[in-house]
Amino acid sequence: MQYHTPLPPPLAKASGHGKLPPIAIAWHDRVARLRGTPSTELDTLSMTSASRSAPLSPMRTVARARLRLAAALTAIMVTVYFGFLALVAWAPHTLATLVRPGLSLGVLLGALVIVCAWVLTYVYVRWANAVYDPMVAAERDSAERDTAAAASFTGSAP
Amino acid sequence: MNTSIGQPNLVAILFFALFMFATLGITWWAARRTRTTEDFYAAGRSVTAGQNGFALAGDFMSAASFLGIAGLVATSGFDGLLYSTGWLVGWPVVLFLVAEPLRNLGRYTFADVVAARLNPKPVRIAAAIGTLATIAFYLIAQMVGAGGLIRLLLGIPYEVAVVGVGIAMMAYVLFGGMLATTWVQIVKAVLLLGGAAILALLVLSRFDYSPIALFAAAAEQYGSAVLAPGKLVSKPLDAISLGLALMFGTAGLPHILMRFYTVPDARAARTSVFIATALIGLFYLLTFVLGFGAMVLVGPDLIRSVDAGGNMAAPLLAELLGGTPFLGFIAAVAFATILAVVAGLALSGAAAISHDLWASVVRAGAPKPGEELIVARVATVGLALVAIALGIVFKGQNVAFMVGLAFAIAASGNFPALLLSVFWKHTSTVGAAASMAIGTATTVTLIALSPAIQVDVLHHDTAWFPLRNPALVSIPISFAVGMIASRLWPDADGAARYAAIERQTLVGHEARRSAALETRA
Repeated sequence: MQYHTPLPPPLAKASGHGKLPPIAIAWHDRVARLRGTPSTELDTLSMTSASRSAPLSPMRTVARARLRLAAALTAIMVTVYFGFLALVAWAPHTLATLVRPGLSLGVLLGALVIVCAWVLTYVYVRWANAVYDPMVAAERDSAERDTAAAASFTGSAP
Repeated sequence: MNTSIGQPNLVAILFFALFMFATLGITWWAARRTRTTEDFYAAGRSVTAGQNGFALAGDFMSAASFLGIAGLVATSGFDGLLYSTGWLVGWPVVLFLVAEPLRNLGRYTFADVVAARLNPKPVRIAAAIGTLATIAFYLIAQMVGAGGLIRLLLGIPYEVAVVGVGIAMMAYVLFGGMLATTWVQIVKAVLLLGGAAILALLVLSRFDYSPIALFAAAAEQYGSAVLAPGKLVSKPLDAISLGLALMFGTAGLPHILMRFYTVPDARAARTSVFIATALIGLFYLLTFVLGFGAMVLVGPDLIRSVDAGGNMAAPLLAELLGGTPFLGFIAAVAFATILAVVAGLALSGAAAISHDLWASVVRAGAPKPGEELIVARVATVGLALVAIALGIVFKGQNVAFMVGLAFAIAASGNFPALLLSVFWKHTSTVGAAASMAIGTATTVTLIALSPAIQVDVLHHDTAWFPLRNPALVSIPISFAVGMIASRLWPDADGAARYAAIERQTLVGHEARRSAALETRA
């Protein structure tokens, strides 16, 4: 059985536009433009349950946004930590220099590595709570609306 | 300073008895709420983000890091900071790459996630092997450490201590499941952080509450070399390899990953890792201060005379600043620390046996009602007995390297397959299973060929494999095997399967209506 999806309303309107932060609204508009594109996955997924047959391109946009940030933050953490290790291994005398009596550069940088870990996790959590969660929720809501719409369209119960 | 360490300490025994009483009370309370497999493995998904943050910290911070790092800082100064930072930096990686997809794709174990879109049997078996190998080595290190610690601090014989730890661990998990384990870990985290904070404040109060003044005093007494890198990183490749194991192993530790299923959703999982990272970071800063406090106020000579490894630095400091009562408190806290960690390990091992091997492989995903819970409980008892036996067998051995080994297996056996399965479209069943199996096998083999075994244990002159930690080699091998095998032996409908879980990776299990369908034991 072929699954026909009527083109959904623009995502920005569907999601209760005014309640989202501006950056999330910008993302939603971008996603809405993408939803006009037919998805080649629809045929492959026509055999799976209706709730999983929503077009994936907008979902992929959301997923890729998260993955890009996650990869970037991971790369920063790796660089900071292994940079610190490299300094310890190859420039120990530099780390021995005293910034202040009792505070060597090494101790300062080591403490900063720990602070950096805190900062990076904070950045991620703030972004995820403010931008990512609303995007995912809106995407899930429209997909459920599609399911209901398609079910009524084909005459079967949701 | 005369120390009472090594003699039976009444205050320590009293504090310890109080802790046991409280945690067994928690276990009794939890047992009444543990009826189903979801309760046993995941505390009914009722743990809040804040509670889980503390529990994660409690599961991760070990007596080895508290006593060991404080001791290392007290005797060597700056070098301890390398371990402190290394053990923290794995947590951001967990947050960015693992926490949310894990919660969204799996139910009780990390093998759920790896097997989400692959053929279950080979993947589950390989994952269970990786899980049990990690847990085995971690457990040995904890049990041997526990026995030695209790004998040192309380004067109780080694074997009695090991049996006691094993029985307590069995009681927590057998009767109280994940709920009891969670709260034991929370209590431990509060006690450990509280105790360390009070001790650090007592230290700093002698230096006008300025850590820098403390470091300056240390440099004055023992030379400015204590503030500079020492001999620990004499071989850079060794340090980098250990760093890789610590950074990526945290994201492959089965008992840590299992904690993410106790919270209701991915957002709570994310918040709990954030809180855990903050707590653990604070803890490592505190141990650094404590180490220098011990160096200045107690002195490395006395510390080494009580225990050559330097592990008594923090307890000696507590005795100096707070008398025997505070020593007793810190000793009891150190012991509580071990109990919390081994309980988490035992539960994770029981889950691997009952959920991954029995329910998913032997019973092909459809266990009889109530069976999985019984198998989990039997596995708990079995694991406790094995842990006690291993603790006694390895008495007196230097098992410190086993923690590094556990991290290396987690980083090479578990982490690559997890990452590939979640994020890479082309991962196949053969690829994931091969990555886990070969990753684990390579790690164990290379450790057997490394100086840790060849030189330290077998007393050969040189070792076949130069690095003490094989992560630098085994992690890339595991990724390469996973990717190459996936291309050579792809799954027939791999692309469709990946598309099917892509959505679930983001939005999680389809809401509450599926909760009723989950296995009710």
